[in-house]
Amino acid sequence: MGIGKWAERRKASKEVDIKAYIESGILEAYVLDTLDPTERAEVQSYISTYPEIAAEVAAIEGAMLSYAEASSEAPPVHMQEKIWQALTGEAANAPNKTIPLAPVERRRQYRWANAAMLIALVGSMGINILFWYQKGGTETELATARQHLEMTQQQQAALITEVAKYKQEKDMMANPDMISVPMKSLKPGQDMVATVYWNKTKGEAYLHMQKLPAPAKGKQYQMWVIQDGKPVSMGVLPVEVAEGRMIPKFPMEIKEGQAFAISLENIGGSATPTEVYVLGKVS
Amino acid sequence: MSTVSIYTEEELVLLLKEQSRDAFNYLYGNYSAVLYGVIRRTIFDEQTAQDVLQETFVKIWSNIARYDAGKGRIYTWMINIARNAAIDKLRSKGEIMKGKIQTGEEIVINNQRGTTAQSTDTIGVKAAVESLEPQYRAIVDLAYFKGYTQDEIAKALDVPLGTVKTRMRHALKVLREHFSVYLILLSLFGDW
Repeated sequence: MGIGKWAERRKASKEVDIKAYIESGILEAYVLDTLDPTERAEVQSYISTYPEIAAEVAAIEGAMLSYAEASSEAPPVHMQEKIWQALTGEAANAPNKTIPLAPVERRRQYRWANAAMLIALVGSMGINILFWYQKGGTETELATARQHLEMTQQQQAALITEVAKYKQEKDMMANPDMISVPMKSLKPGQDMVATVYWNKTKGEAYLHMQKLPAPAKGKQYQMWVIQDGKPVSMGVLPVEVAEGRMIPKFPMEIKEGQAFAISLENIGGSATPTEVYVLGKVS
Repeated sequence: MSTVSIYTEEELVLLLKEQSRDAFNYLYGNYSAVLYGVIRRTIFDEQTAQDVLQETFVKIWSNIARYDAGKGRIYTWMINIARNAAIDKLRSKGEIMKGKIQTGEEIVINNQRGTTAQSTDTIGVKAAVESLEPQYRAIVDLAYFKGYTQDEIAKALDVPLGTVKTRMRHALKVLREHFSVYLILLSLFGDW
């Protein structure tokens, strides 16, 4: 009796625990992938044990799938063929097929065969030992060489990005359809510059932030186009852009505009500009 | 919604295991926009995003045998591959992550993206996303698209960790409510 009661209580407390567990917000963090490995493992074990938790996780995942769908964007048309090429190329380079071992033939063993095998075995052991000695040194050398290679590759990648940026800017300046709109500081004493490259007919706009201070904690820059005297948001700017490391194209078409501006806003952006840093009129 | 498939998830898995051109065309036709959208939310640069998209397809293609239906939907599995590939790329691009953790100056929340979006950008989904206030959206986006831990989010937004946790839960609650309404509408009125 006593045991039965205890088990019942335990069952009740387990149910309460599951509810509390769901309420704790850990499942949301799990779906958003912000947990450390220990917590992750715990949630995963609960999912396989408790159907209520599994259902809750599935519901949260469902919401995030729809959230991801909301930002769907068709990749450029040529990508389909390019990726297919990559996939079929990949298949051709797939790891070698394992060669099936030939069936062992059982025959009467002759003495000379045994002797030959012994010689072969001793020989191969000797070679193994030799390789084993050499391997130690080779591995360290290999590791150093790899490190060097990685470093060089990183430097090279950085350089390529930098060169590509300059080339892109040069090409844009040479393009007669492209207007450049320099934006100047609105803050006296603070020297700030950013440039919009704008192809009005195509509606393409690019931004190069040459000189703007790093935004303070909790703040970020937001881009604006002034259309019929009203500021229209072109989105908030990620740090790669704010540091002038790239000249990205804006994802929306801009065909109208009398001026461009950048303001500093709380993270997430604002519906109207709060503190305008630079402004440039389209001439 | 163009992602509504003719195949069930089980059938899709079988199809992918065939590794045929048809299988690829189906996969690409139905999922490339969602996957690319996810990648673009993480990576601003178009060229890099395209590279990551290719990497994502290669991973899906070569790991499909290892996909375990018991661990979740294949859709989630594919999106997670795209997300992880994009976040890895973001981290490997040198100092970006470090810079942002120290100064907290990062995020793309491009409220205006969508001119090139496919027809999945239905009114229902958009309305649901827009129903989320910026401070909640920022948390979801940082975690989901930028791969931040809760600690990093707290630092980046300059709010206490507890606030991050409660806001995260609240944000998902709002999204779930809106999406369930949206799904009911969808089931009532069919494919938009």
